[in-house]
Amino acid sequence: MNEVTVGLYNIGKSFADVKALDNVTVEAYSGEVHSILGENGAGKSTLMNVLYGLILPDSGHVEINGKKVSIKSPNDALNLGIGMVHQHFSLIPTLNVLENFKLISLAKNIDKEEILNLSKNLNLNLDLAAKVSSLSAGERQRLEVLRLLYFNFNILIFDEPTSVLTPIETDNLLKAIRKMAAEGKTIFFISHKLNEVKAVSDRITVLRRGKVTLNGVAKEISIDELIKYMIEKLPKVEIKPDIKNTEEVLNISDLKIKGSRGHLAVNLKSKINIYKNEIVGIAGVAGNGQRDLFDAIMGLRKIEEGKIIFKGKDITHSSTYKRIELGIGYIPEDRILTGLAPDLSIKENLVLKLYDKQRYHKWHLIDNNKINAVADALLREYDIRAANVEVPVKNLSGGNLQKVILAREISMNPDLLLAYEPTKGLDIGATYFIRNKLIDFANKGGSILLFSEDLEELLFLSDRLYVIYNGNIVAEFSREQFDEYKIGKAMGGINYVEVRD
Amino acid sequence: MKITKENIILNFIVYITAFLLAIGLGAVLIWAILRIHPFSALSLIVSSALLTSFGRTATFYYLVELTLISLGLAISYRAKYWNIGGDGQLIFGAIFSMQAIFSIGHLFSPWLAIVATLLMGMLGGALYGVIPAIIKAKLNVNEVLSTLMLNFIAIYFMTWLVDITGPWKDPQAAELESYPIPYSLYLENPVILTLIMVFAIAIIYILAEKTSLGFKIKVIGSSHSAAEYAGIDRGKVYIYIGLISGALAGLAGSIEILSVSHILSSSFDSLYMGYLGIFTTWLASLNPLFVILSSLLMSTLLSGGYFMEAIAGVSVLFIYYFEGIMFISIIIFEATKSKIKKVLKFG
Amino acid sequence: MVSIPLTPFFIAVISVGISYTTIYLIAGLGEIFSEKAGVMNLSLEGIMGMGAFLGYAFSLISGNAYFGLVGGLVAGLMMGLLFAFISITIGVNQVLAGLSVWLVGMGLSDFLFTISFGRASHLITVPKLPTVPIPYLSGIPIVGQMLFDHTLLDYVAYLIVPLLWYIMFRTKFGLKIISVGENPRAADSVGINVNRTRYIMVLFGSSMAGISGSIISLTTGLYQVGMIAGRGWIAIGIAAFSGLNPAYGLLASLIFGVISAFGPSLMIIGYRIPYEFLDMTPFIALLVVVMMISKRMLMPSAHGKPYKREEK
Repeated sequence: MNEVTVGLYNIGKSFADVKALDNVTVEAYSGEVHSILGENGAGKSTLMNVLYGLILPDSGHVEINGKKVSIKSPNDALNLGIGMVHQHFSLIPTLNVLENFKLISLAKNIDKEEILNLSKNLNLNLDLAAKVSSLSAGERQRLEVLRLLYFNFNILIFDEPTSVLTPIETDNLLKAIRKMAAEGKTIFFISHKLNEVKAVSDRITVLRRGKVTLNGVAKEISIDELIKYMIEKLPKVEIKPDIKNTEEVLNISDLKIKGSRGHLAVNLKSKINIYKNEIVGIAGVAGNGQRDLFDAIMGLRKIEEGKIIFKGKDITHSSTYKRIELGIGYIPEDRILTGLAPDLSIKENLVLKLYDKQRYHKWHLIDNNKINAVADALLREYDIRAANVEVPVKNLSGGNLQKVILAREISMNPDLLLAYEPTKGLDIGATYFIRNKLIDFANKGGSILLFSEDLEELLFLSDRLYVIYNGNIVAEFSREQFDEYKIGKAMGGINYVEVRD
Repeated sequence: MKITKENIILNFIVYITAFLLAIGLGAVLIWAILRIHPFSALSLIVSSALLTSFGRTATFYYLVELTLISLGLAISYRAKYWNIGGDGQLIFGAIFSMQAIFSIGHLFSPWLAIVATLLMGMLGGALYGVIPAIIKAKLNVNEVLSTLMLNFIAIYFMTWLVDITGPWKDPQAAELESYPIPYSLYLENPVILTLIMVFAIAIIYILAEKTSLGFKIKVIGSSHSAAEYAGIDRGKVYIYIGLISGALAGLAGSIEILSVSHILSSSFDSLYMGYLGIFTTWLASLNPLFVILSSLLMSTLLSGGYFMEAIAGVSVLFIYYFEGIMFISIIIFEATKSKIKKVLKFG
Repeated sequence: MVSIPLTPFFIAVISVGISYTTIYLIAGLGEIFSEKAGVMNLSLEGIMGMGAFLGYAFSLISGNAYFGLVGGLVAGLMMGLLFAFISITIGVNQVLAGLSVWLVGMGLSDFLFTISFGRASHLITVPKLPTVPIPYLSGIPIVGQMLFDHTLLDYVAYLIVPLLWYIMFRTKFGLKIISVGENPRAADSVGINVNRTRYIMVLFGSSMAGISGSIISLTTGLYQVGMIAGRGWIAIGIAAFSGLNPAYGLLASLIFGVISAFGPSLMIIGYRIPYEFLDMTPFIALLVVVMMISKRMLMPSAHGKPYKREEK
C-alpha cells in the first residue's frame, strides 16, 4: 500500500555538550501526515533541519525512497523534492512576491498564471508585485505554503506552522495539509500543540529530550498517553487566592502607537486598568499590537497619542530609566539580546539595572563583594543551573536564562511587572517554577500585566483578561466570565464583545 | 576577558604562533628581496630598539604614546564604538599644545607651563574626539566613517599651519615645520612620563571595571537592546567615551610635542599612532592592564624598524605590513580558538 | 576677493572632475555590490594602494599602460581573496578584517615600491593611459574638451553603470545578491549558497578597487608613497551614501569628483590658495552628507555579520 518514502535512521547530533538528538529513527509513508510532537527543546526542529540539510548529523543516515542519500545543504534537499515551511520564515521582505518565487534555485521560468491559480485554491489573493514586508504574518505563511505547492515538492515539512495564525487560519491550513496528503505527498508536521497534532496526523512520533519515546498510529493513541510520553513529571501547582484590591497601579487611555510599517499598531479606544495584587492577562494572536503595547509601557516605543499613568504619575514621556526607578519591571520576549546582555556574566546580568544604585557601591566604586553575595543568593533561590555566577549568560539554556531575568526583575521589587510570554519554549519544570513565582509575586502585593499565547496559562493565572485584536481592546472578561470559546472568537476578531466599563 | 590559567596558556600559544607566522611571511619577503637573513633582521630590530640608548629612548616614547592612545581605544571598543580617529585627535592635541606654548609658554615657570600645555593637549583631543560621538548619538552616523574623515581633515589643517602659506611655518627650516618650542619646556624626564602613563592606566582600569560608566560600556558592547532595556542612555555614554579617548590621544599629542619632536611637523601625518593603537588594544584583549605589554611589543618593533631603515635601507613601512600580517594571524586564531581548544584536549 | 576667469575654471573643473569621478566610481560601484551582499570591505584604501603599485609595475615591465590595468586587477584579486578568506571563511569581525588588510596593503605597496625603486625614484615615469578623444564630438568648442577627451576607462566607467544597475535589480543573480545581504538565513533555506555569493561580490569589489588604484598611478605615470590620499575611504562613503544603488552611486561619485577637482583646477589656472583647505573639501562634504542621510540610511539588515549556518 503506502511505502516508506522518508527514513531517518539512528540520527545523533550534539551541540557543545548537549545531546540534541539521541539515536532517533523515524519512518514516514507517502500519502500520510507524520507528526513529530514534543516540548520545546525536545529536538523536533533539529531533526527536521537534518532532513533539510541545514544541520549535519554526527551519526546516522537518511534514506529517500529506500535509497541512502547525503543531504549537505538545503540545495540537496530541494533537489530531492523536499520542501520546508520554516518557523521563522524564509522570505525576503524587501523583495516582492514574484521575486521570492524566483529565488528558489530550481526555478527556471516562473509561470505567473499557475501561481495565481494555486493561490485561489488557498484563498489567498496575491499581488505578485507586492513587497513581502507589506503582508501580514498569516499571508506570509500561506505564501510559503503556496511556494511549496508551486514547485511540486513531494516531501513537505511544516515546522510549527500555526504559531502566528488565528484559529480560523489554523483550521484552513490543517485542512489544506490533509488534502496534500490525500494527493500522495509525504508530510512532516512539527508541533507542540496536542490538539492540532491529534486532528491532522496519521502517525505520531513523540520526542523527549532528543529521544524517541513513542511511535505509532494517531488514531490509536489518546491525548493522555501523548502527554505522558511528552513530559516527565507534573510539579505541584500553586493556586492564586482571590484578593480584591482597589488601588489603581496602571491606567492607559487612548493610546496610539505607530508600527514599523507606518500604520497604527496600537489604537486603544478604551482604557486598560490594573490594580494592586492583580494579574491582568492580555489574550490575542501574536502580531496584534501587544508587543508594541508592552514596549511602550516600558518606554521603549514612542507614543503618538494617549496617556500612561503609573501610581498616579503621568509617565507618558518619561525615560525608561525613570520608569525603572518608579517601579516597573519587564520580562521581555527576547531573552538573550534584550532581557540579558549575552556576553556578561550571570552576576552582572542580575544587577543589570542597578549600576547607579548606592547599595552596590563603596566609595562610588562597584563593590564586588556585595554583588557576589546577592548573586549567589539569587542563584540558589531560583535554582539556576550553572557552575557559578561568573559564567557568561549566553551559555545558559532557555529555562535558566528566563530564571535569571525573573530573579533580577522580582528582586528589584517593582510595583508592576510586565511579563511577555514568560514561559514560551520552556520545559514543564521551568514553566511551573516561573508560574509559581509570578503568583507568589502577586500575592505579596505586586501587579502583573501578562501576555501569553497559551490561553490555558492565561486563564490559569489571570484575575482579569483583556482581548486584543488589531491593536484595540475588543473584549474584557473577569474571572467569573472566563469562557474559552468566547475568548477565542474575540481573539479572531469575530463577534466583538462590547467592552464593559 | 576572564583571567584563567587555561586562557592565559591558550592566548600565549595563539600569540606566539601568530608572531612566528608573521615573521615567517615577512621574513620570506625580506630574505628574497634583500638577501637579509630573517633572524638577523629580527635580532637587529630588537637589539637596536632595546640595547642602544638611542633605541631605548625611542622605544620608551613610542611606549608612552601608544599606551595612552590604546587605553582610550580599550574603553571605546568595549562599547563597540569603533573609534579610529586616534591620529586626528592626537594632532589636535598637538595643535592645542603648540598654541598654548606660543601664547603662555613664556609667562609662567616652566613646570606650570608644561602642565598647562599637557592639559590643553587633552582639551584639544577631547574636543576633536567628542565630535564624532555627538553625531553618532544624535544622527546615528557610523563612527568608522566619521572618525576617518576627521583624521584627514585634521591632517590637512595641520599641514596648512606649517605650510608656506600658513602662520606657524619656521622660515628658517627647510621642511614643513613650525618654530621649535623653547628648550625650557622640553619634557624628557622618564620618571614623570612613566608616572603619567601609570596614572592613566590606573584611572582607565578603575573606570572600566569599577564604575557605573564602565558597566554601562560593557552592556552597550554586549547588546544595544539590552542597554536600552536597562535604561542606559547610549548617546551619553558615547559622548563620555569620545571625550576620554580623545583626551588620551590629545595627551599623546602633547607628549609628542614636549618630549619627542619639539616642533609641529607635517610628518605627523604618518605617525599612525592612532591606527597602531587599534592593534595594541586588540592584542591586549581590551584590558587596560595588558595594554602596556602589547604597546611595548609594538614600540620595540617600531623603533627597531626605523633603525632598520637607517642601517639596512628597509623601509619603515615594512613594519606596517608586518603588523598587519601579525594582526591577521592573531584574529584568525582568535576566531578559531574553540576549534584549537578541541584539538589541544586530545594532544 | 579675487576674480577667477570663469570659463577656463569651469572647463578645468568638469574635465578634471570627470577623471576624478572615474576613480571614485569604479571603486565605489565595486563596494556597492560587496555591501549589498552584506560584506563591508574597509580595506579599499589598501587595495587601491596595491593596485597603484602593481599597475605602475606592470606598465613599466610591459611598456603598455593598458597592461598596467591588469596589474591593478591582479592586486585587487589577491587582496580581495585575503579579505574574503578572513571575513567570510574564518568569520572574523568585518571591521577588524578590513582594517588589518588595509594595513597590509598600505604597508606592502609602499614597501615594495621603495625596495624596488628606492625612495627617490618616483621620478621614473611609466607609460600612462592615453586620452582617446571621440571623433567629431571632441571638436565641439568647450563641451568637446570637457566631456569627450578622456581615457577609455573614463568612458567605460560611465557606460557600465546602467549595466550594473540592470544586473542588480533585474536579473536572478541580482536577486541572489540582495537576498544574501538582506536575510542570509532565508536565502540559505531556498538553496542559495550564501558564502559563495559573498565571495564573488567581495572579489568583484576588490577587483574594481584594484583597477581604480592602478588608474591613479597610470594617469600620471608616476608612483608616490601615499598617493591614494584617502580616496579609498571616500569610495566607501560613496557606497554608503548611494543607498547601495548603482545609479545613486554615479551621482555621489560625480559630486565628489567635481568637489575634488576644485583645488587642482584653481592651480591649473594659476591661483595660489592654501590648497589644504580645498583638499579637505571632499572629506568635509562626505561627513556632512553622511550626517544628513544617516537617519534614513538603508543598509541591508544582515550587513556586517558573517553567516554561519548552525548558529541559532
